[in-house]
Amino acid sequence: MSSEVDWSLLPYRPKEFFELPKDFDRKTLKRAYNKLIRQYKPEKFPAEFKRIRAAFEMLEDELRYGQSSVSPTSNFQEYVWQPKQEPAASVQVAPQKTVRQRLASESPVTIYKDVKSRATKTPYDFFVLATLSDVVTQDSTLYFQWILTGLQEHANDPGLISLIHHFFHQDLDESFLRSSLMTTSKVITTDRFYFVTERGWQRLLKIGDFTLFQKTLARCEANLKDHRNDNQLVFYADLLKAAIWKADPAWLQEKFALLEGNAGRLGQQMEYELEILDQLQAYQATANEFTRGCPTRTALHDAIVDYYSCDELEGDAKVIECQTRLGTDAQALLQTFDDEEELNKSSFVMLWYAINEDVSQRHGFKTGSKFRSRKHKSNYMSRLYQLIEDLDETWFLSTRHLMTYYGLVWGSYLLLIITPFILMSSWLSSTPVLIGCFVAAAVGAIANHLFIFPRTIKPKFDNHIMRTIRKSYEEHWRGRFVQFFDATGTNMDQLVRAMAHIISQENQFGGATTWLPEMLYSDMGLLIYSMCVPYRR
Amino acid sequence: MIPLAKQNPQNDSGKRTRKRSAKLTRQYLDKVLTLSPVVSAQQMVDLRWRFCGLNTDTSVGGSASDDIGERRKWNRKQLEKIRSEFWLMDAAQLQQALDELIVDDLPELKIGVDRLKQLCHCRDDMAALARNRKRDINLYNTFRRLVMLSPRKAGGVKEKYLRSLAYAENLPKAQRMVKMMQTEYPNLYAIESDWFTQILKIKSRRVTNGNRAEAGFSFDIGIPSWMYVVTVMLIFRLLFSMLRMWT
Repeated sequence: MSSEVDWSLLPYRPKEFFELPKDFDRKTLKRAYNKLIRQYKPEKFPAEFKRIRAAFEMLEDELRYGQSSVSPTSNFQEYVWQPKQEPAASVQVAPQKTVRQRLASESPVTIYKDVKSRATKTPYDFFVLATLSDVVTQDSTLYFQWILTGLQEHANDPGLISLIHHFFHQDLDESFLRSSLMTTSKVITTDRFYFVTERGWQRLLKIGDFTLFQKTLARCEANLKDHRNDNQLVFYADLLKAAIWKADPAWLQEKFALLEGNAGRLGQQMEYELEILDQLQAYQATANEFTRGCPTRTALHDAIVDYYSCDELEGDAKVIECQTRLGTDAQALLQTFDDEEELNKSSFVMLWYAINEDVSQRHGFKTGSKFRSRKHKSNYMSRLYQLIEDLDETWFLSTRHLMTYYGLVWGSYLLLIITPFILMSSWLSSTPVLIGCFVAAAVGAIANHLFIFPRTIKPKFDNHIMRTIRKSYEEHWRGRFVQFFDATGTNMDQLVRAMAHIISQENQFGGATTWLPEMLYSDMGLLIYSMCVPYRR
Repeated sequence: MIPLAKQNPQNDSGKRTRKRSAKLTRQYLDKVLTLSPVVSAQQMVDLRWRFCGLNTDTSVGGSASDDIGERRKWNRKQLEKIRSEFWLMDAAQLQQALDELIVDDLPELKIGVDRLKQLCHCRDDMAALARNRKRDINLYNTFRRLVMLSPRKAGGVKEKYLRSLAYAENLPKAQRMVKMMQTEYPNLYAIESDWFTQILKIKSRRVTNGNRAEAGFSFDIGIPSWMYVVTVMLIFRLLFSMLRMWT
């Protein structure tokens, strides 16, 4: 995407505006959106941000719900909302002026009364009534009522649908929101109800009590009379990300079962959403075990909850705040995550990765694993080389460990070979006994080779070695890697790959150092720390 | 028309009844009546809410966001200024300058401000450390410099120092100073505790490797100790019986 943005493409050509390929997906759309947001930060360019956001939401809704739900017309440029000149009542009478033209000579009250008295009203007439009701009356609910009445008469009008859909984007009062959702469900009784009211439900979930939310939703759903449920599935796939932290388990189970039962119908665009939901479900089930009342873990947990419960900017701010805080006390973070087993099982890591990729991309924190230039790469590699060289001697292993290992190997063989001879030492003069002892010694040696040594002695020795190495790693390497991340601002992937490269190229480094990439990959504390480094400017 | 309970849709009902001028009303109607909701519905709804006197979208819209952008810029500039003059200003001046910064909703700057406040409280400790005979001048200067840097720049300085220390003649002196700070100046130590911990762990590369890896060796490798005794006894028994056989 070029740095120059062609604003003339909005609002009619959002795809061209984002420079999207013909068959773009949500990931491509989000990347293009994030890139523009980096350029037009909401706090610096609020108007531009709103235009970008509106275009993004339109395309995202299309991808999620499908074109037919978002806008029933095939091409919205062909859709006529406002007639150029209002039709004449008869051939003898000249065409009527538009509402705008009439406003120059007539008062809003007169126009309001006139439009209201018409027997048949166009969708635009209902919009005029809604808009003028704000001017001529003190009842602010009339706006919503007129639009909804318009929809009752023109059920598929894309203009009115879009107005109601965006009406629910506003920060409505809780009780008004509940009653307007209920009323909408009586007018829009098709599956499209979910698309139209989605933002209203998200807000109600955020500001209200869950039991009340659940009851309102159930009552609205009872009003729907559509056998299709495509929009419902998309709706729940998104809503559950926020509801999972508040809802009661039975309700959650029911909704997850609904999604699982219809997963095949959700389409490719929703695959990533379902994957995230799976991770969220797995994480939420173990969230108490994860936080363990520890402040660092609780801060991470809260950031995840906020990210999925709040709107985009608020959620991003919470994540950035959490990352900035975590970066100030590396020691606490490393001590919190000292369990190497945890990483492989952790749905937390998957979620934290996904969140950070999104937030950092949107706010321009450089977390990418590419070097800026050759010079940058060579500088990085030489620093890493020096670091390994510095710490290569810190392993607590020594030649005595090696000697113990060979001592155990030969000792076990010796023990099994000589035992029959010792037990039968008094009868060794007898040839059959002597032969028997040789046979028993051979069997013992084979058994040791195949079973005893590899299954009993070696695992214990290996465990001991691993414990020793782990101890040295925690004592010396982790802290230095923290300093290394601070200095270079690089991420874990980059470090592991560069380290694997150095170790494979340099014969100088052997033994425990060769296990470093593996240890780094299983170090959750360091991984989380590396993720917060880009946020510390 | 569809009936709806008479309620106010907005959170702040007081603002709803605000008087609007005829000019403002005309401007609003002119604008909103020409837009198409299929592509500009959000703009239409926003215009209406602003017209009704409720611009609730404070997260991105209007003056609130302009303010935060400006405030970020101003605070960053002030912070840099304080950093550059930190050691020249007296404690009261410093405290006042830091208190003037409004960074509660700017986490990336708040961290830096908190750090400077912490350092401001330890200024006497810093002065005492400067006079202390046990101090290592190189470490002292590096510490004094890096506390004034941004985290990214400080990271580079810290790492460079750690690398150089392994070959430095004054490693024992630096480590003695860190230990002294740990006990005598804990507040100063806390500011860069991660880095100081690493300094204590550095082993000199100037000396021979004779003392290398002493601490970690242990016979506790999971084999029960009685097995060593039994093995030795069996070997002795075998040797003894073989000796008896041959004689």
